[in-house]
This record gives sequence, structure tokens and C-alpha cells, in this order.
Amino acid sequence: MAAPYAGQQNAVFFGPLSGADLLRKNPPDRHVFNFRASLAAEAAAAVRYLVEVRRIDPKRIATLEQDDDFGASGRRGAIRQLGTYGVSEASVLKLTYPRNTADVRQAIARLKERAGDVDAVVMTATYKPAATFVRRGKDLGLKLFYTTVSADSGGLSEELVLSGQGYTDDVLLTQVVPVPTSPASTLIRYRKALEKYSPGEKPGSTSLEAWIGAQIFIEGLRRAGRDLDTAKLVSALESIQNLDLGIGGMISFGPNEHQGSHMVWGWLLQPDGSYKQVSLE
Amino acid sequence: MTRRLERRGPIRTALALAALVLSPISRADDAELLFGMVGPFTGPSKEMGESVRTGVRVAFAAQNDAGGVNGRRLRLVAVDDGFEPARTAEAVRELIYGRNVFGIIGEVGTPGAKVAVPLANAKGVLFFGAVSGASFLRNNPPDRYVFNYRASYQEETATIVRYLVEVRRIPPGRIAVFTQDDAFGDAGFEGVARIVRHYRADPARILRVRYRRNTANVEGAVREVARRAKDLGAVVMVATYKAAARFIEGLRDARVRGLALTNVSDVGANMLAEELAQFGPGYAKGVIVTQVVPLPTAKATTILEYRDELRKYAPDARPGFLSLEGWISARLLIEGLKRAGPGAGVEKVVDALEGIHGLDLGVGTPLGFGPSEHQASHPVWGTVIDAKGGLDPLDLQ
Repeated sequence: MAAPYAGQQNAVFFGPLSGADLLRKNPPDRHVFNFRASLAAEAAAAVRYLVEVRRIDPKRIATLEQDDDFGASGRRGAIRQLGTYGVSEASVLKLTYPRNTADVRQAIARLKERAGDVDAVVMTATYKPAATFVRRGKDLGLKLFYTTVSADSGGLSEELVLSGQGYTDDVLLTQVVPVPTSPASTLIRYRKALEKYSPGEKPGSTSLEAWIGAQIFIEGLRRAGRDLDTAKLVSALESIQNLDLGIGGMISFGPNEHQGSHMVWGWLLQPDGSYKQVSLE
Repeated sequence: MTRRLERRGPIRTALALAALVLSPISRADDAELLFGMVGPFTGPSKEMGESVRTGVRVAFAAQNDAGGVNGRRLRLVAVDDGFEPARTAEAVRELIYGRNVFGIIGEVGTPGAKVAVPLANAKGVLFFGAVSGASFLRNNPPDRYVFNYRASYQEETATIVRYLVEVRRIPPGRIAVFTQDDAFGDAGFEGVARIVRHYRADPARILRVRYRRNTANVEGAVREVARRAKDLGAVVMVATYKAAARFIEGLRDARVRGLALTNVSDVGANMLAEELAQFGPGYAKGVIVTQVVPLPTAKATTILEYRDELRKYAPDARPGFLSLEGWISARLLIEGLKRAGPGAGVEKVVDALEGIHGLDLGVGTPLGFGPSEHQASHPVWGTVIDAKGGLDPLDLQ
């Protein structure tokens, strides 16, 4: 909704906290810039992890997604990656739940019917339905591996820790930012800024994502110079190449590329509700 | 000689702290930059600690003779942890709180590094050039105070497994792994598993045999590999030289033939070669070691310089891989200290190090760091031991 409006008003639409495909056209909309990797890339990384690291048969991976564009973006990424393993879209069990609910009853019922064919589920869901789905799946006694896209990490872990022992096993969260508590230079800077300008606020992946986006935006403003206008800002942003903000990968834009980062991190849920960063490859 | 510290007592610590409180900027602080080193200077791996320390010392001494760094002299204090991570924490605390070191350089031992890094991060002192390729020293993004010179175990094991599979034509499923039973062995095994997975083989089926750290008790490992020898084409070893030498000796004595035997750089190639040569002819020949530095006997400008300095400042020491690694690490650190300018503290030095790009120290590859990259060098060199215990270059491509 907002992105087309920004375009009509000749305003830059920068760094939305969304990995949806509609913000990532090819070639990209002139006014729309993203910092983060796409949902599709997250889901693809999750599939790769399941197959390469967890050695799960790609034919036995299902998807669960919200029944809207958010969910569809994740499913597309999972399907694309599964395609590289020779799995056709039609054969990938598709489970959905209605937007703005945690109503996964139908998804669970369908999973139960097909339980013998599934070893892992790639979820593109917000934390509440994701946690509910994992909990109900485990209640059924299904031994599955669950991955979910960059949802609210705290909410997800809280729900599953509360559910009791074993509910946190085999749950991987993909993320588009590093661990907010990392001792890396830039993350130390982020936490200092947070402490100074928003005391009491705990470091978290959402505020970190917005903070990194703002760093890039500031770099664009700096490059655009005085007498700022939209055209200058767009050109300045498009001139950013291999900018090292210290998040572990370089940030680059260009006329054909309006997404700065393609990095995806993996966090494995631990029994105490914390996350352990793991290599996805 | 090791400057081993006396046992730390409460009085000593109290005095040290009192001195710090009374004179936060002592004259010594202005005049010198004190670095600490932790590693084995006793026990079966002591030659490793000594070699690395020699390299660092020599580079520091040469720099001091050239006027120091921005007018400050470099000094190294080494503390023995006997290669036991249980002792590393105390040694590191002694250095960073007792001695107030600027940083730790050339730590030897992956399990020790695991203990040391959180301490260094918490105090904000440099943890520079550890002799370890473990991935926990290479987080993404990298820990602010942790800088590595050398290639990772992942890079070393990927290079050697690729060589075994592509050049030697050994199927990835026929590669076994011999490791120390700790974080060092795990880190190496993790590297092998990763590349084996890349070849679409199942890492869960890799035969892994172990020995206990600080022992050379390898009988069980030898027996297991000998028993399975007909299913195997190679053993990748993630071990220190004493255990590695015994393992190779055991396989040769058991008449296990035709296995390619490879070691990661941390084995201490020179020590391993000497050890094997002592067992008699036929033990040493053909054993492969991957390296994270060029040949210490190379005729390259920088390596000639290394040997000149070694002759001058450590006349009894022979050129070796680990001492060269310590020497290069120290050189790289010195570059960062220089760039940080006079009177710089740790924060400025970290920023200066992160600003080093494409630095050519003449070690075969440009070295650089950045906010997202705290490992300066990525190449892996191959060497093979000859019958007399010499080390020859081996093309791994």
C-alpha cells in the first residue's frame, strides 16, 4: 500500500521491515530501497540447511504459510530451492493459516493425514501461529524439524519454553541481521546507541534491523550532499557499493539492485529459550 | 626462557590493583606496549608454544631495535597453561588484570582460546593471531577484539579433502578422521564434515577416531583404523605432533599401507617430521601437512628477512612454520599499532586494524581486515615430509 503511494508522491520508500517480493521487483522500483534479504532468500536458506546440514530428504519437506503475499513470498523461495533438488512445486505439501490469526487447526489436520511423508516444515509465519503449529505438531508426537522466517524471536522462544520440555527441540529461526548481543564492533556501537538514546530498551533483532537500515540511509543522505532532493538521494543510494557496516557482509545498491544485503543467519532454539547461531551451509 | 609467573596470591593481586589505582598512567605504560601470550611451555606440546613465542619475540625485538612503535617499546610476557584449558582462564586473567596487558598475541591451543576469548572481549583487550583456525574465533560478524592472521580449519580441511578427492581420486566416503578429543578436534572434524557434505557424502558415516589431549595414547585409534583399512583411502589428522607421530608409527608398524595421511598446520610440521625421522626410515615419507604460512625456507624477500632476524635475535632457533606464523602475526599487529598513532589505546588500534586493506607483507597474499572481516589471510599451502624428515612443497591443486 505504502510503496506505490510513496512513488506517486516522488518520495523514497526506504528499508521497510519486510522481505516481501512485491518490494523487490526486477528491475526495482526507483523509489523503493530494501536493506534486508528477502523472505524468499530466508526460506531458500532454510531448505538448503535442512537438506545439506540436516540431511533431510528434499521430497519430505512441507511448507506452512500465512495465506497472503507475505506467506506466498516465503513459499516461492522454498519452492525455488526445492526445485534445485529436483522436487516439483505440485508435490510440496502446502499448509496455510489465515492472516492475523494463530488458527492452525486445519494445517495440523492436513499435516496429520500426511504425517508419514513429512520430515520438516518450512514456515513463513508470524511467531504466534508458528509457535502454535510447532506445539501442536509436537503434541501429535511427530518428529519433525521446523524452520521459520525472521519472526519475533523472543515471542517464539517464550511460547515454546512455556510449553514444556522438548518443545524447543529442532526449531530453527532464520534472521536477516546478526545476533544483537554479538561482540562485533558494529553491534557494540548499536547497543551503546540504544543505551544512550533509548535507555531500558533491550537489544533485539527488530530494532537492530531498523538501526542498520538507518545507518545505510544516513550514508545515502551524506553522499547526496546539500540541497537534498529525491533524485539526488536515489542516485546517492544507488552509488553505495561494498559498504562495510561491520555486519558480516557488504551492502551494495545499484540501478538494478535496490536490496542492500543478501545475508541470512541461522539461529537454533535452545532448551532455555536462547538461540545459538549456526552455520546454514 | 619462559617468564613464568609466580603463583598469584591475594596479596600480590591486591598490590597490583593498588598500584593501578594509585598511578593509572604509569611511566612504563607510556614507554612500552605490553603483550601477553598463553600456551604450552611445559608438557608434551611445549615446543609448539616455544616456537610461536620465538617468532613473536623476534619480530618485537627487531621492531624495538628500529625504534619501537611510535616511540614505545614492545614487550612480550608469556604464561604457561600446560595446554590445559582449565589453566588458561587463570593465565589470561593474570595477564589482563594482573599485568594489564594491551592484548594477547599468539595464543596456542583451540580449547584455551575458547576460554580466553570471552575474557578478552569482556575486558576489551586484543586477542590477536591465535594459532587456531577454529570457527568460534571467526564469528560473522567478527568479535571486535579478536583478530586472526591465519586461514581457518575449514579452509585447511576443505583444501586437503579436495586434494584427496580430486587429485588423489580417493572417494570422500573413504576418508577417516583422527582427532584430539576436544574443541580442537571438533573444529577440525567440523571442517571435514562440511566439505564431505559438499561432495554429497554423509558426514555421519565418517570414521572418527580420537586420542586424549596431552597424551600420546593412540593405540585404540590405530587399531580401529587398521581394522577398517580396506575401506579407507586416507586419514585426515587433527592432532599435535607427538600423538600424530605415534599414530603414524602405529599404522606403519601394523603394516597398513596405501593410506594418504594428512595433518593440519597446528600439528607443528617441523616437530612431526623430526619425530617421525627418529623412528627410522620409512616412517616420515609421504606424510602431508597443510600450512597457513609459506615455507620458512623460501627465498622470498620477507622470508629471507624472517631468517635474518631469527639468526640475529634467536640464534639457537631454527626456522619453522610455527615461529614464522608468530612472526607474521606480530608484523601484522605492529602495522596496526603504527597506524593507530602515538599514545593510541586498544579502541584506536582496533579501528586502525580494521582499516588495513591489501597490505603486502610479502607472504604470498595481500593481508587485510575490515569491520566484517577479522581474518587477514586465506591461502593454504601444502607440504610433504621426505624420508629424512625434510619438508617439501606439495601442490594441492
